[in-house]
Order: sequence, then structure tokens, then C-alpha cells
Amino acid sequence: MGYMNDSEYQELIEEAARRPLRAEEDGQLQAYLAEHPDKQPDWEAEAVLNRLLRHLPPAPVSSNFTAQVLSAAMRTKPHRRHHHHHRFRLISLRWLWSFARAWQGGVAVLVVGLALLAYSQHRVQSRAQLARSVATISALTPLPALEVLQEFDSIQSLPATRLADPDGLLAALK
Amino acid sequence: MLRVKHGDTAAFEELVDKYKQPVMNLLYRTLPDATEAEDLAQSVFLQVYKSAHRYRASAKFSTWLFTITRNLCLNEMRRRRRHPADSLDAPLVEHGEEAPPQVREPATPAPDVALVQGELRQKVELAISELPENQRLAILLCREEDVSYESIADVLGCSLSATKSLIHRARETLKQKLKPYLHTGVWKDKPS
Repeated sequence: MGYMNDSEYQELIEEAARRPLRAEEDGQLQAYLAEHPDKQPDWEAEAVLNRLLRHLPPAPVSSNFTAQVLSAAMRTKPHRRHHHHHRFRLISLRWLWSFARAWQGGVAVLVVGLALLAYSQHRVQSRAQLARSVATISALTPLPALEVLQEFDSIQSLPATRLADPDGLLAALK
Repeated sequence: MLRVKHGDTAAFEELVDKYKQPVMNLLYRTLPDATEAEDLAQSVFLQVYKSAHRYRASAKFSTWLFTITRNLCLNEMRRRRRHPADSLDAPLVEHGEEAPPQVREPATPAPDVALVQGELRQKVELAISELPENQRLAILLCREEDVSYESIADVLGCSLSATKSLIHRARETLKQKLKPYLHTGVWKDKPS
């Protein structure tokens, strides 16, 4: 039988207040009290009080108590209506939640679509702008006639300076 | 209780049969009249029935039940304090009937032993009724073996240590009040 300390003794006192001690617990208690005789009066008072409280008679209850309660409960039955109402609320809330999730999804798709469209438009406009820029540059620096460019050797021997009259040169070459 | 939540009347009847005695034990020693204690006990179970949809399986049923019992009991005590005319200092008499006795005499023991035991029991009942509300509830709940200290703490809305302290103080008060009877030995079954 293990030695019991003061803390365990207090726990045993608390358990004894709620239920009769088991044989093993009683043995531990007796061993502790043998080691601590000063605790004996305190334990005896506890034991007597426990016995008095346990021996209190049960409260009187009418033989038809349960029948009366059932009768009153059947007259009310609000929990059923409330239960159905509660279920209806749950179903409504679930439906609203599903609708909100679908709505969120639709909005997300719309936003992404608009973004792609905007990007596509931007690219088209950028290309158009680039084309206009090239056209502008081309107008400022016209290229010589194709026939001139066909005489490669002649071109090689041309001075590096800008030709004043490309058409005149072409006629000369012919 | 989960079956009751789904409208099972037979399950509710089982619950009432199982717990009517513990609930009455609590109320009978708080309200000074047996009839009113029983009326309040019926209200407790009606409240359980109406609130069944709110019950959660995570909560222990006895804790939930005794919390409802305590709340209805406190409401009734407050109502009586506000309306002193409803006080039950005098025995309640309705429709010409006598109020049932608060303490039952044992049926079979010899008359002198019964008398002594009856007197002692009355003293114990009186000492309990004079305890502060929370201490009385704690002591009475302690008598129910399937109600743990943790459950008592939940019912009272206190911490576990505060609950144990309440019970300790209540027991010390009872030991003090019953000291003469404890020392004379009249609590024993055989006459002194």
C-alpha cells in the first residue's frame, strides 16, 4: 500500500464526500491516519457528515409526475415548429451561400474577360500606332527607284554623298 | 437527448423518469414547499423539451439539466423576494388540502429511534436550507454521484477551485451547526 501525502489525503476527503470509498482507498486512508493521528477527529467529522447527507430521504415525487410533464409538453410542442423553422432557415442560408458563391465566380470570370479584352485592344492599338510611325518615317525618307538599285556595280562606285538627282542618274545608266 | 432533439417522445419520457428524482432532490431543499418544488421541477423538464433543439452533444446532459434547474430556482427565489406576500413561512394550504410534510418519517423503525432520526434529519435539512444559495446548490449537487466536480463548477458558473472552496465552506458550516448531534452519537442507527 503506497504512502499517501497531504494533498492525496485532501483528494480522498473530496471523493468521500461524493461516494463511499473503495476498500483500497479506505486502506490508504487508515494508513495515513495512523501516521497522522491529529487528522483523526477531522476525518471522523467528515465521515459523519457524509453519512448524514447520504441518509437524507429522497424528495417526494408524485407517481404521475412523468405523465403530467408529458401532457404539458404535448400541449406546447414549440420545439418542433422551431425545429422546422430552424431547418428552413438553414436551407435558406445554404441556398443564399451557394448563390453568393456562384455570383462571385461569375463576377471573377467577367473581370478576367474584360482584362483580356483590354489587353487585346491595347496590343491592336500599339501595332496600329507602330505602323503609323513607320509610315511617317517612310514618307520623310523616300527610297530610290528599284532600277537604280539593280545596277550594283554602279552603286558601289557612287560617292558616299547624297545623290541630288536619282532619276537623272537612272536615265544616264540606260 | 439527441433522440428528444429529433422529436422522440418516448426518449423524453425516459429522461424525465431518470432525472425527476435528482431534480426534485435539488428543488425540494431549496423551496420550502413540496408542491411548489414539484411544479418547478415540471417547469424544468418543460424547458428541457422546449430547448431541445439547442442542445449540443458536446455538453453533458446532466450539466445542462442542472443548469436549467438552478436558473429556474434562482428566478423563483428572486420572484419571491420581490413579492414577500408569496412567502411560504406559513404552511401552504390549497383547496382545503393539507400541505405535505417536509420531512418524511421512516416507515419501519421503532418509534423512539424514528423520533430521534426524524429530529436529526430535520436539523440536517434546516442546516442545509440556511446555507447561502450557491453553497446549498453545491452541497446538494455533490450528493449526485454521476455529477463530477467539473460539472458542478459548470452548473454554478464558477471555476473548479472556487467550487471546491464553496463545498468546503458549506461542509464546515454544516459540521459546526450539527456538532452537538455529531458528538452525542444520535446519528447512529441504535439509540444512545
